[in-house]
Amino acid sequence: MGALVDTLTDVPPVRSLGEYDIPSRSAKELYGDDMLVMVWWKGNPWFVAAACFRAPEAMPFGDFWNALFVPYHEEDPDFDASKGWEQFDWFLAVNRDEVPISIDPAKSLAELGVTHKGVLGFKSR
Amino acid sequence: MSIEPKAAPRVRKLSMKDRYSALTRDLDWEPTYVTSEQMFPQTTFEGITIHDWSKWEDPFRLTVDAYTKYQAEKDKRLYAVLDGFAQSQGHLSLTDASYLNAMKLFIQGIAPNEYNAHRNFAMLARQLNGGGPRFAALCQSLDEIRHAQTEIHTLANYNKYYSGFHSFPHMHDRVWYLSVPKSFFEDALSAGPFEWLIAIGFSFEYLLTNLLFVPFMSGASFNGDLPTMTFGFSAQSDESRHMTLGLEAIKFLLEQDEKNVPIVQYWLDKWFWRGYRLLALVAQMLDYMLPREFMSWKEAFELYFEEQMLNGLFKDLEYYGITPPKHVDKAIQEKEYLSHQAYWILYQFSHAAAFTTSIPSDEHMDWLEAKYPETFPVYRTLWEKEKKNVANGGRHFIRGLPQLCQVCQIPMGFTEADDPFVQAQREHIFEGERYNFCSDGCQYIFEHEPVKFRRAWLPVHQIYQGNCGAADLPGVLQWYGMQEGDGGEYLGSIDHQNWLAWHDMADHGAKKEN
Repeated sequence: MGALVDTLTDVPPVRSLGEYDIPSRSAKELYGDDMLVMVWWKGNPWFVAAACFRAPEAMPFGDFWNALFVPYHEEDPDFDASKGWEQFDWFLAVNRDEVPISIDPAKSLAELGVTHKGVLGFKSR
Repeated sequence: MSIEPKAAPRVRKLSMKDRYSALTRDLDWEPTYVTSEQMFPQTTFEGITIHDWSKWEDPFRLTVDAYTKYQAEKDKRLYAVLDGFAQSQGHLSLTDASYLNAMKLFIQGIAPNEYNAHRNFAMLARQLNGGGPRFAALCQSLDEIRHAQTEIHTLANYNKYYSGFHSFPHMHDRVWYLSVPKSFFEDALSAGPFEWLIAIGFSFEYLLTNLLFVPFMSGASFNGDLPTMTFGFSAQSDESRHMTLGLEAIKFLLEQDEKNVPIVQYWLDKWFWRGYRLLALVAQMLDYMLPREFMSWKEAFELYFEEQMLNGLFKDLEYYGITPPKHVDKAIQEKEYLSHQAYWILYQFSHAAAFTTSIPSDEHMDWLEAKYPETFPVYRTLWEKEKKNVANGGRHFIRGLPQLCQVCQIPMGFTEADDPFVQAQREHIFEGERYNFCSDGCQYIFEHEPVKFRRAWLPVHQIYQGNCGAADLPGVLQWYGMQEGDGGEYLGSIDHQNWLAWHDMADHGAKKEN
């Protein structure tokens, strides 16, 4: 994955008493080889917000599904894990848009295009 | 040198106005050993231009002795009520123990920020150039610390009998949902003095104050909480002075120089939205936490914001070139569903909170449906699903952590206007890093101050970095200072069981006498 392209470039100057250029408190390097992944069941109000997981970038999607995804979403009585990830359409959320992705359980999260603090979305078919 | 008293002074009693002037303005002077920039280093960097500080009208017009005498009288009345309530076991006449969830939120989220307001107004009392505004800031600083104290004393009695009241300052610094009011105030505390005046003095104390205080204080009065109601009355006369000061501050900035107008407009846009997002906690309290309801969030918003502010205040501010806050249209739209979404957030995360929640009773849902005929039926389907879930032995507690908004820090549960089940997702990539926002309003603020807001201490991200005591929920709750019974489901909780036992005892007592 290449570096993310800035969408915010034209920023007003900082007005402060002194030098003020402090780093992010959620930067990627603070999580080592892991990243934060937002997982969003779009259109299912049972989960009031997308979930936030810490997961290795290299984690294969299949492992992610079993270890993180299912235990979390099983809390919804209408979720049937046995139908597998194929029951959903998957996408990356970019503002209001959906960029569809096709799932390969052997591929890592990073290979699927998930980036630090990115939103991995899915919808019931 | 003689210590004899001087010859009897001319007997001339100063009028109140002259006395005030002698004791405040006459203590002001032009520095000669240093420049005024050296003496007041904080009033230039924000880009605000002030030509004449003497044009600031101080609405307080009080001297310290008059002020303290008046406040002492009010304190006396309040503490008499607190004593009487405590001695007569007044807590047993509340509508229900669950009412106190509203007060738990109040002491955890608001009281520590009264103290923060005290601190920053004390700073203004030193840093503003004019004698009038410095004295006004001093008075408000005293008010704020008095409010912090009286709020804490008012609610301390409940701490003897109910969970969730202990450790509130500790929790305020650490707990995820309290990071919402904490980061709101710290954003203002770390701004310059003028932004503070618009953020807290004007937006919070004028624009939104009735939406904050009326729901809490009237909620108290409708639910048998005499101490909180009395505290509210005791603070009310101070609040009206604070409102006047906030209004004076914005008018002063706008009148001093035209160049101030766009700066003030951004602050208004920003702090309206910041304050409005914070009030989501009040919205859900008003609609869901009060056993005896008295007014819906929608009604409160229409009366205290749309009618009084949009149709009143902003008509006056138009004269200065000020327009109603950006994104206000979104807030108006959200009045139909804000509280439903906010309570749904707290409901499913209350296992990690120092208050409890429960499914609204059928009667309560009927009330909600009457107040929100267009929107509540949609949310009612969620409660029906949860009822079934509970009947099957479940209870909807999220098994993980939520995505948070980088600016308001609330779990991202607020939806797009056109779909009640699709949460809004907004983002920006800034210097190679992605940041997520719950709304256009929060995204807009980040666009103006990305360097400040990337520094946000987001509870979820901090837990994952290992900065919150432990990697598992019990460990984090311990680090939060929470104890058994503080959070979770209300029905069957320690508070609920005690409440039933106390009232059962009272019934038995009554039977014996018969």
